[in-house]
Amino acid sequence: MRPPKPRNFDAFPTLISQFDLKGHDCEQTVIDMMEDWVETSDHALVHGGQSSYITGDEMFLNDKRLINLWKTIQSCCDTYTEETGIDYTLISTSWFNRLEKYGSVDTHRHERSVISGAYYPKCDNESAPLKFESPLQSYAMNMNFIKQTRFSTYTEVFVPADGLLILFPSWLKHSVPPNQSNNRYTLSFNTIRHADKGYVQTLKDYRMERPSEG
Amino acid sequence: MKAELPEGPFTKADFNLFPTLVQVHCFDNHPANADIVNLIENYKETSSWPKDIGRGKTSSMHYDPVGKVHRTTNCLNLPEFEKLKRDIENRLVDYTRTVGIAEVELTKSWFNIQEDEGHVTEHRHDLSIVSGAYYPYVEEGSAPIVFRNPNLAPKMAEVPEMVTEFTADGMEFHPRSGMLVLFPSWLYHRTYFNKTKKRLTVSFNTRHNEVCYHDLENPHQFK
Repeated sequence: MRPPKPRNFDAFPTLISQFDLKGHDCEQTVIDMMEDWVETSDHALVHGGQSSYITGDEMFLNDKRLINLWKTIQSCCDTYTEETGIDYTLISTSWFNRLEKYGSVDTHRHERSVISGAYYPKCDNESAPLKFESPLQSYAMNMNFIKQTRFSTYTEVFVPADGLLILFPSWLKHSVPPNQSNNRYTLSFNTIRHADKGYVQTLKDYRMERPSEG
Repeated sequence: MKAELPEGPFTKADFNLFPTLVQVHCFDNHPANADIVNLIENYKETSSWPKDIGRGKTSSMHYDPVGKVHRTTNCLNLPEFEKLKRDIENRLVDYTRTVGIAEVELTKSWFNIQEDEGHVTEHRHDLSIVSGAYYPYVEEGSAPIVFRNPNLAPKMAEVPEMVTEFTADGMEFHPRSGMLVLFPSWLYHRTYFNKTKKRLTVSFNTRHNEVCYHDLENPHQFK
């Protein structure tokens, strides 16, 4: 007689949420802005591409032309925080990266942020994935892995698609391997605890405040 | 691994990444239980846990007055434990296959006796691969084994508003007689203070039983 099946508990997972924002009314605007943006630079982590991340204080998503997108993404962040059980957040800094062919982004995490996100207004089938690293890797020094499973994998990749928004905890290390397409546009952003809003005077909650002119 | 998007249109998809497998088996009415309980309760070579480790009796680290050293009785090698040992070995195969690691074999095993106020402080099992706790007999309401969330260290920027599987500091497994819990040896765990008169545990460690480098594929290179 076969023994009864065990009960498997997938303990302590890390939540990644994807939202399909394809066709958002700001989609073309954000693409146009990324293509016309003058102040871009080579970022230390970004190879073979342009980034609007220069000082780290950028608030690209706070442009008044993108307020509806800000509201949509903020709503997705709220859904994420409700599902995970963490305190509400507020979008803080935001910037974009445009990767060329073979462009890549080094492994990094977003310190001083709670949840982070990547929105892809424009990419191709061959665009490089977003690759997350397992936070459990350092514990597995004794393990002899012989098969890749959800418990043993060190990395998980998410293939971008037009209009896709990916939310993840800011502490989770991630990177972008060499891009194989000509167009891979990413709008990235960080968040702070909503309760800390008062400490950062430039932050706006556009559900309650109007965007400033200019 | 590649996260697969849902087929067709979707508005939201969730992915619970990088979980840790804790596996629970139930050996209800295991035929060896009565003998095991009898042996544990009448075993002479037990000692008390040092205060910094916990409170209770254990067959681990008992003092051998002849050899003048501390020894551990590998209790699963005792004849009374033979059937239980085979059953545990079979369940370890299930665990290792589910996780995707090479098979393991039992190394050290010992039992613990906890009475009222008995407990074990937080620890992990260094050098081992998979560890386990089998409960031949526990009174109802005995203290749970509690695993600590291994992801707490980087969560310094977030404040939990509610306990969920993503925010929980720990995960409790309340024992029942005949229950076996398997977990990775690196996972920190402890027991709360026990509030019953009897909580018996058989604990064990493992190692990989062979390492075949010649045909070992690196699973982390898979696309």
